Amino acid sequence: MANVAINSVVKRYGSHVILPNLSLDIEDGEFCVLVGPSGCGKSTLLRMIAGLESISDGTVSIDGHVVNDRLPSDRDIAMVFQDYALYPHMNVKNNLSFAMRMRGDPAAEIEKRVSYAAKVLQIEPLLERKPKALSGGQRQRVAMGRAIVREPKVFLFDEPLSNLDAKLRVEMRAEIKRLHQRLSATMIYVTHDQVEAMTLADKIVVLRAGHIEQLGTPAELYRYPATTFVASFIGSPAMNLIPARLAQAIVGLKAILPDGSQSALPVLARPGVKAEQAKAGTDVLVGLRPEDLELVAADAPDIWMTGWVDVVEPLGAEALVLVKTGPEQAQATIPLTVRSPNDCGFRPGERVGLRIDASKCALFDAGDGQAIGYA
Amino acid sequence: MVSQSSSRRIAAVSTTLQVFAVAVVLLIPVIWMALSSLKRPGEVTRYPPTVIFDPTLANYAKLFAEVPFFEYGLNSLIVSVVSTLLGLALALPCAFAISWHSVSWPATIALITRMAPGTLFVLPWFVLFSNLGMTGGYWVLILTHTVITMPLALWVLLPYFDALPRSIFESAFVDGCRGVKCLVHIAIPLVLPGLMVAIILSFIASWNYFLFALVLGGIDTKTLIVASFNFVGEGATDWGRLMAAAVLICLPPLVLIFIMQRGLISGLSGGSVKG
Repeated sequence: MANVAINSVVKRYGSHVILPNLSLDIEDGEFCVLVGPSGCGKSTLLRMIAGLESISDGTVSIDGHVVNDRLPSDRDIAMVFQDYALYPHMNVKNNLSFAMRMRGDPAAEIEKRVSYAAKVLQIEPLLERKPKALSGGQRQRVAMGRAIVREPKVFLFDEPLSNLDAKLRVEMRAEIKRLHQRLSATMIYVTHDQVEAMTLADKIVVLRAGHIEQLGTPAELYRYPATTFVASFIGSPAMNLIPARLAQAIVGLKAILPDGSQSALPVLARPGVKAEQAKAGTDVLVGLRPEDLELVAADAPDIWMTGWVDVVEPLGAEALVLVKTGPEQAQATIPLTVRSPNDCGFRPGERVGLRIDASKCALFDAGDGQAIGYA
Repeated sequence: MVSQSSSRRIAAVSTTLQVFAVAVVLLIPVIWMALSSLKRPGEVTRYPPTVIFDPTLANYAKLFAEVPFFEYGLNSLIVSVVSTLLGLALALPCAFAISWHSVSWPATIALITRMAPGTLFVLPWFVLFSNLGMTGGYWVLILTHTVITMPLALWVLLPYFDALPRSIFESAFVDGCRGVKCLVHIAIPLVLPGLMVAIILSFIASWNYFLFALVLGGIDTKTLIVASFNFVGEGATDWGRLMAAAVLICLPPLVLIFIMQRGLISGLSGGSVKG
């Protein structure tokens, strides 16, 4: 096992800069998920760690050794590819043992490790089969088995579940988590799926246009997003961002809401966020998770804001209610998503009141999207 | 209204007829050649040609009696096999590298050498190899035939390499398999169908190539295709023996195709990556 240190890494293709300057430390045994939209540079960064892409500037260190000039095979890493990348002309057993055979490991050791990986991943009956005789999930298991057999210092996963159907993805996600718990290895996992990131990671790194937008534990990113980008990327459905204007500055913050009401916001500046932005007259975005909003009758007491029900999406155990808010129904264009009980009883077009969990509110600068404070 | 099964049957019959028509056009000269090799001298050139005749193996017997046919055959075999292998040995890594790096100019240059007429090379080569004392030997024929087989194999193999998923090779790099090892353990097994096609086409091209063998070869290294030219005289041509020689010259490539056709399977890379 090993830590991975990425120090001021730059990736350029000619004049096109993919990663302008990125530094990141991944601790020994940590499950780090790189997440972000397509083209943000997450796969490029992973491939640079693997040695499949050159490093334009900066250093990548594994276990304290700079590996910039080392071949992929000399970095003591194993990689699971998005498209499995199994060797089609070899059976599962030979696929699993290939790296060890290339290294010239003793046959007994190869046999032992292949048996162990096959047992862990429950692919023992498949050892003599060729990849084309396997299902998608089985192929992905073999791809993971190939990584396990190597006993590498670092496991790299490049969107390994994106080719699987929804049910299989959930199963394999749990498989990967189980694998990490069993091996306690350092794992770096790239995905654009925030659910995978949230469920698997010890640490999530949100990338945007080659920069780290925010890094932290899943809970931190969910509760305290540093920017509106993170707020809308992490969490499904995304955090509601309600445009408002500050009527009164911190402390005792008050905002003028889209429906014209003026409401006190229980937001305090946290260390590291720009408290000086919270001045009266500042345009802000009030961030609230769908589960932190409650739908009540429009004339109920202690409502925070009013709106009109647009669509009700029943999910079985609960329902997502899409509400539009504004000064009047005709001008109600600001969408909000509310997680509510399945039997909430509200119908499309109905006027409703919204209550909030005052302890879960976040405030962002409407200009640059940076967080101002959290409740 | 035509049912689906009827239209499928019509399509199948139409395909069969088209294949049959093409096969007839292609096979008529071959059948003509085979029949002519079994005719007596006067009958070969008779007009109108006879289809029903008294067949004889006299042309074959005369051919083997008067011409060291097997020696010429061995010469052809040596030149064709070695130039095919040499061409493949050069074309395989070349195609892999061109495909991996996505650079097309080396392939284009190779194609130009293939497209240029042989007569363009033959005089400078004659001077060059004469000065080197190589004319008349096997190596001059092998090297010059490799100029034919290498670009041919390269262009046959390129699409096969282009179709391979990049991630398979990247996976191999991570597993410590690079360079020649990667070519042997990963690339060659995956382009095997293409390799079979390249072997067949290269062998046939070298086996049938006339000009370089005529100009640069010697008495001891005369190939079958050059030897068969001896039956074409200034005043008269021995058509029967020429056709018998042609039939025998056709056989090795045919045998090669029959041997290798089992390797011409497609879809070998199925299941390696998500398709």
